[in-house]
Amino acid sequence: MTRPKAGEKDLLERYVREVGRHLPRSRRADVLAELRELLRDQIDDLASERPLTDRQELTAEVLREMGPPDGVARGYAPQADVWIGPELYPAFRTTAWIVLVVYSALSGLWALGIFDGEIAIIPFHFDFGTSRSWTDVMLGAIANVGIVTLIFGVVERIGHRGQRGAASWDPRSLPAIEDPDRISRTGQILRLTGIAIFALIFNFAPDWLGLFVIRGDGWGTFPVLAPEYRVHLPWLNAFWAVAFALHLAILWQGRWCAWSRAGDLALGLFGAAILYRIVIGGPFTFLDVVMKPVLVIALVATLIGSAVRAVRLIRRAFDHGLEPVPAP
Amino acid sequence: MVGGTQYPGSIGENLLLELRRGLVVLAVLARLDDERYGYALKKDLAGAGLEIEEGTLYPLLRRLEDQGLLASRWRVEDGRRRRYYRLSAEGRRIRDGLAAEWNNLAHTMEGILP
Repeated sequence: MTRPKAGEKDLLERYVREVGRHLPRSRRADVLAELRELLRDQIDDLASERPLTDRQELTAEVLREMGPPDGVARGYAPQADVWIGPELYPAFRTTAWIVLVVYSALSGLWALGIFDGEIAIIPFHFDFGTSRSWTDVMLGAIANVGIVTLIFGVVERIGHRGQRGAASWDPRSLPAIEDPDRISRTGQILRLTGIAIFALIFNFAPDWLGLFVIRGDGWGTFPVLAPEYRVHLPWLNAFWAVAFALHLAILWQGRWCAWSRAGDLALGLFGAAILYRIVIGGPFTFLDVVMKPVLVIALVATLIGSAVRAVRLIRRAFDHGLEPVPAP
Repeated sequence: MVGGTQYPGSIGENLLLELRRGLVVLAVLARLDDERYGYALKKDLAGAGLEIEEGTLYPLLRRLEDQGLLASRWRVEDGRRRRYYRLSAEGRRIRDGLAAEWNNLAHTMEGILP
């Protein structure tokens, strides 16, 4: 048995992962584990026949013979005709999730009484009128995901067949594997600095948050924060303190892990709760006509971000347990 | 060698693919009385004169397992963890029926072909 070299392993892993993107989650890990070993067998065999050829070159040759990842994944699909095949499956899944997350965020705002109305982006229809019941909202979610399924089913049948030839496929064009747990130390330090600056300004120099105005006798500031903002200060300070501690710990660890991701998710929900409190509370700034809608958008973005992170966290726990995901 | 034959043009290729499809299933079932992993089976069939593309064979093993014709298990050998396949009782029954049918067809076709 030959230990795979870095370049060969990278190309092999990129291929295996790309096949996995087109497979249902339920059988992905098992199929990929087998496929990885089978490809290694072939590469080893070829290397014993041609010991002078670069192993990365041999890997590319084996993968080229194997064919494009989506075609291989299609082979693993059940024999019965499927509504959405492996080629379109990743795009379908992403689109369905986006629709579901946006719909869920709007449902949350509707439940909190912040949003009341309907949004129609053909062919989708998000109806959250005051007369709607929870049953209507649930049926709306099913209908919108159903529209996505219908569209992709139609495209599957008429749209994309035979678009790409296996002969022209090059394994070196496979996308690189990103390390989702790697942190940027510089980015992390900037984040910590930002949190500290925000906390210091809100606590000790709130007048600095304002509009700079140039007058005849020089320049001055027009403060933005209303005095009533101090009602929220204890919560904001708690948020910044937890955020600072969490990101300091992540910087210390050097990588994201299960507990820091769970902490980040909890922090996001805490932030959303504070934003909600500010949105429904009294004056926060002297420009609330402009600022409150901005805060509502920030609240929706925070909720969507938290929902996406929660789904990713659950998926990772499902795929890898609570063990850290090995770096590629 | 079956896999080495080339037919120019897409109609010829499609007909050959169709002809080979059922044949490949029978060949795989015929060679799995003993436990084998995918690449070993591919080499075994190639040695017997039947070349099967990896992208066809490996998914086929999974599908036959899904259909209950093969059973599989992970096994570590020579430091490598591999998935080994062998015929199930149902697979053996089907294989024997298909083999008998194949022999009949081969005999019939000998009389039909020019």
